[in-house]
Amino acid sequence: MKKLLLVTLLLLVGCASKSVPVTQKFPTVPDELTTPCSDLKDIPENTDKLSVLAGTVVSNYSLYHDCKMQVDSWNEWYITQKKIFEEVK
Amino acid sequence: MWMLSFIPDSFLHLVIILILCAGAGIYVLSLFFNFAVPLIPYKEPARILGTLLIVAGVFFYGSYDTEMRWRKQVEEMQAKVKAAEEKSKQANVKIVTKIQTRLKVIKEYKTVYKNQIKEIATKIDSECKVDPDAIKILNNAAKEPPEKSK
Repeated sequence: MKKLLLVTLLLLVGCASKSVPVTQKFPTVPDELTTPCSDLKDIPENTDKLSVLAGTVVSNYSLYHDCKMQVDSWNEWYITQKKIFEEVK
Repeated sequence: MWMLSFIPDSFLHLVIILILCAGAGIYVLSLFFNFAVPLIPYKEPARILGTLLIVAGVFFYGSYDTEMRWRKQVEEMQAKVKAAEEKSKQANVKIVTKIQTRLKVIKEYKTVYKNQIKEIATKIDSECKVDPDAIKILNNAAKEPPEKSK
């Protein structure tokens, strides 16, 4: 009888240890971050004006800043989202 | 085990307690069967039945407890996931707003510098003529480099 009672106590833990079936999806990247960087602009070849060249250089610098901002934002987005994702455990 | 989720918790709990109490009751009663001569032949079957009911009751109680703990864990996890999704959305909005603001600033600065060049265009164009070869070199440099190096 005592052995039977011991077995009964063991039965209490019979159904333990299951993993929770709740899945978490990693968020989707915003469209603003997935647009590819533009190609640099060419200087018109039929000109000898320094102002035209300088204007193109300014445009290209601006394109670089756009692209840099996008890459930096991508990194920031990933680090932030990864941190939030890993908090759920 | 999933079928348990269709039965109300309180009813399930009550049934389990009843099984346990019935088992314990029958077992205790069987101890007194010795004092009533006509009940003596039923003593052993009653003890066995009582014990079986206790075993079943304890097993069901264990299962019930696991089920309840499981449901609580699922609820907690769902709440955590929901909170994380909300946090993630807020982070997305924050980043997108930051991008839009930055793009606007970059565009404004570009216009400012272009206007500054326009202002001094006559002066710099009269002082310097750009060689077409320099333009070719600059344009080549602006192109995306090929995958293979020279």
